[in-house]
Amino acid sequence: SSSSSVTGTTTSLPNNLGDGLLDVVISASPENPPLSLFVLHQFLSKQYSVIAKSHIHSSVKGVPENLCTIFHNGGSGARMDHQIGLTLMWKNVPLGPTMMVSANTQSPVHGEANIARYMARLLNQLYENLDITMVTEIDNWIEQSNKQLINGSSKEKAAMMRSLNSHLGRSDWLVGSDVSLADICVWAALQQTKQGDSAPSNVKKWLKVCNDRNEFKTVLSHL
Amino acid sequence: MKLVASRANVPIGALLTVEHLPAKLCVEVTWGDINDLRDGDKSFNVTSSLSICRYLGRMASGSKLYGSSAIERTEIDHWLDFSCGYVSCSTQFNNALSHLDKVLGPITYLVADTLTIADFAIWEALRVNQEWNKQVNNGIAPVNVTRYYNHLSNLPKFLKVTKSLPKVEMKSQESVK
Repeated sequence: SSSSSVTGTTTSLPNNLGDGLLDVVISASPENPPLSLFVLHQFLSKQYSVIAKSHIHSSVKGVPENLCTIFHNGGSGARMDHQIGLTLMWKNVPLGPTMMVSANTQSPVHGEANIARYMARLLNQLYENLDITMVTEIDNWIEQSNKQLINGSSKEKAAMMRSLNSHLGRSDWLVGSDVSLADICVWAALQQTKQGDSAPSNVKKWLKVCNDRNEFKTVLSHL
Repeated sequence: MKLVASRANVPIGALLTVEHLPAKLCVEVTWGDINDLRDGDKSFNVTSSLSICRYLGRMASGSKLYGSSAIERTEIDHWLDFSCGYVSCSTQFNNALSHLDKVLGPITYLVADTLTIADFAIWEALRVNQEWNKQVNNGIAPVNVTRYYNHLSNLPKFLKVTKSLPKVEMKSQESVK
């Protein structure tokens, strides 16, 4: 339950999974696979019954086999018996991944980070149901990661790496005492931009802790 | 709660959010050098207009300022990114405007048929954009975005915030004419 007082500590949303299947369609380019989505798919599958499928649009040629199998499960059973249906369409999306949930009332959501926010909002423990100061810190890491790790100059990348390293010297996770959406998004950004191998020691140690968790390990085994 | 609003970098969206908060959430606004949101001695380390909008929108649970479902909230995030990305990027501005014009065709507000921080952020991004002001003055701005922008500009709470902005900001607006 949420508190609306000035010192309120929770920002929880009502549970959004109604009756029937929640149908989510995501488009992404095979050149830039949305790794945060793959990890969140693993988290979602622990809490909900999820059916995931991927399709290759005719405009794209040669999606690597491993990328097709990463997002494919639940071949058996009726689609409508599941709570969440995730459909990943591999196609060329120049402005980055897009997501549609309800085509009648919604305009497309752009950006891997915003898609990740949506997935995390469906879960209990990674994002919006945490303390409001923690949620704000998570948003801050996501924003920094977009601006500096993914789109930044080499100088900005190095600066972000230093702030990650000093932060992770003091704590095991980026926000709070457990994995959160911040860890997932920053982990994905480091993998996508191949900055993990050259990372300083505290960042490497944290990457290893992530990689040892089942949700990340499963995704890595497909890459 | 206390919001220090920067005179040099006016957080217009955040000021609009303050104006739309439920009565029980009281935020005192003062002017200063950098944006800062405080609750007693506690600073929240939120300094950009967008993060202040998000923070206050979350505090105002029960209001619809930051949407009332996971997808509404995510659509709002999309528009916040859009306001500081495409709309504020000179090479993308015209593409951003035509996208916005298409989306706004059949609707009054960006998300969920009601005012949200998405509208505050987009209105702020347009208001401070010289290219937008030029297009409006020359009568060549896209019709749906113009209707949307003028509608918001004339709402009492938007008028109140516009009036409260520091003189420096108003001067630069006048020089656009």
